[in-house]
Amino acid sequence: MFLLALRDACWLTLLAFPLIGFDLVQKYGETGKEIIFEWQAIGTIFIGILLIRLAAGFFKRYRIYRCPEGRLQEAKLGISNIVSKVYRLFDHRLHQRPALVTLFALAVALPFLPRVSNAALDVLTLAFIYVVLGLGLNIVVGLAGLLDLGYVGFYAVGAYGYGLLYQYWGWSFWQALPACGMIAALFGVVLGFPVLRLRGDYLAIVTLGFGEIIRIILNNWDSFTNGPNGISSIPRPTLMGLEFSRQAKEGATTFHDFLNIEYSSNHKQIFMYLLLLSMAVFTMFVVERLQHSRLGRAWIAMREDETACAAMGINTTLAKLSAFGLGACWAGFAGGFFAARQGFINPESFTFIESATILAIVVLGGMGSTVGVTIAALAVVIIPELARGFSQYRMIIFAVALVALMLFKPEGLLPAKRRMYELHPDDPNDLNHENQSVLEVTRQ
Amino acid sequence: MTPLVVLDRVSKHFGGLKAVERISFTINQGLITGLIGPNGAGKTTLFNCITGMYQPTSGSITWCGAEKSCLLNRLKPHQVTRLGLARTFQNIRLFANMTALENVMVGRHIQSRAGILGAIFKPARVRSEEQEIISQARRILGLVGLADRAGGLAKNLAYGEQRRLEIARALATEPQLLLLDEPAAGLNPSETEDLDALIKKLQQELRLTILLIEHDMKLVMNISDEIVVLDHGELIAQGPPAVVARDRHVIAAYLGEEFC
Repeated sequence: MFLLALRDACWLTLLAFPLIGFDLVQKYGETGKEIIFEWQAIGTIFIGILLIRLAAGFFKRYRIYRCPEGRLQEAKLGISNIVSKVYRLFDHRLHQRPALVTLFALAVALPFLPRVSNAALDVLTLAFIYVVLGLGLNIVVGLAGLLDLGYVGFYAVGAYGYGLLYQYWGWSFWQALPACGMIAALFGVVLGFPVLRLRGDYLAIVTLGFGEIIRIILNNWDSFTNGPNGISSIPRPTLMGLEFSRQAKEGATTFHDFLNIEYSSNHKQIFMYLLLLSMAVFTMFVVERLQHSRLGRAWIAMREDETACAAMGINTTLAKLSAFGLGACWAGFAGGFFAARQGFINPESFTFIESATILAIVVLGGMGSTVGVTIAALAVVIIPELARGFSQYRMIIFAVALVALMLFKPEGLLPAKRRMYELHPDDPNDLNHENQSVLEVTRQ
Repeated sequence: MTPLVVLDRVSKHFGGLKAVERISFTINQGLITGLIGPNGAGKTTLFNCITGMYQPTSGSITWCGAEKSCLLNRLKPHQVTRLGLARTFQNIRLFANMTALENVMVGRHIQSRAGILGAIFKPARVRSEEQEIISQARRILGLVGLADRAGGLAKNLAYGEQRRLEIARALATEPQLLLLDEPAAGLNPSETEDLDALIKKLQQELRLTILLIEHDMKLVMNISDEIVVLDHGELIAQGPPAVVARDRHVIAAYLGEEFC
């Protein structure tokens, strides 16, 4: 075990070396640059990885136990027992609801707690946008198994949908939001048609192209989209017509005037936070419902085996288009919120790296796992922010966290568990047909 | 005897390869028809033509079901299934990461209606439909003897159980014609006997018509009412098991000319 750990540590150190092993320093008054080796950082990385690897190997030894159904399940003893207990809290359907309600209550209360800064709320608001995006992509990738690398395109469609509707027709946020979702869904279906026959890598490349096409069109169609300059001063959402600015526009009332309180920029921040929190929770609810519905089962069946799925009488064309459409719809909503939060959008916000981040969220969280994807979305936005203290090492820390997660939990943070349909003996629906054969019911 | 499916000079060519060549026979209602032949004879290709996975190059396949009659040639697999044909696969194709019960629930897809809005808002109609799907799926699992494995993931089931789950999933679509592609492949003798009993039960109790590809001669001869023999894509014999077993062409195809 020690030798294995040593081997891994050597490998990773070797890989990390070109990234952080040395600095190029230009000394004062000299022309050339000097290489300074950061032996301390290298040493820390080596020892750190060695210890982590040893600890992981140690826990791996004690982790298999039999659960009541006789299925093999992973569980860990020792320190990670606590971790696995927390996992199981979310794992078990009976525990899930109270745990989620408690978390939701905490999240609602958060902005009103003392010492919660505006900046923190802002990061969380952004994180909730990514929760919506992650869950939306989860429909396409996690449930239907269609690898979509151009998801950011629909995000852009949503954001520009609101931006342009405001710019040309002066639509308000609440008027534009449903339109954003619908336009994006339409784009999703339109993209769906040409790629119906493609799977896996080929699908990924075509969708990647689609995402880029949208961005490039937005960038070059100056007369309509304003090109690289983007659209600015997009109004923020209002609360039943109440604005959150210091001074109201003509004919409008501000929130602080209405309640007769002092103006504070906190109000706006808290409102955005709560708005996106409810949007994220709403998305979770819908995606969870979809997942355990007739349609969701058809998606998962299609992911598992398309041929067998068609042989079950499922129209795979419809199933694919509905997955693309519904997935894109959430990206459209998220885009609308993004435009409203930023107040300014330009094509730069919708590059491929965004698609990659959202896909990373889905994979990290566990394909098809609603709670997992939510946690991953929060982590992916929050970890780089927390790591700001490490300045230039920030993204490396983030990357190491991702790699470590994939090494130790390749199925994601909270792998999707299939729902167990309990048999209720006192359920009238179960007893009604007890004596009839299924097939005879329709045959006669 | 009423025909259920009539094949008339069905051919399927892949480029120059004539996988199936001018095959005509009739699948009669309520009977078990065995489809046999050496490896590469075109049995599975013919299966795929009937179930819409392939389009025949020429010829016609006519469905004479209880509700309507039509040509199967140009239909997609899901349309064929909706008419009342359900199939299993030679190499098991279960939904590996779904539970056994969910596999069967997917089979209930065409017997239920709920759409996107129904899934999100879950009105009473959808709730009861969902209950109905679950209870029917359980009953079908019971029918094939997998009631106690309902919660296990399909990929964790034993091989014989996976074969039976495939049959259960096909039954869930409520077919009139069940097409089984080598259901006994890889089963041990006692599992094969169970399968034999199951297929007979399906024929007698559910009055299903069954088309069966099988290499296990004992099983085929035992349960088939009619046997169709293919070799090199052509039909070389058909008739009751006892007749086919003594047919010169069949013996030649399986054992070689010198045994005739």
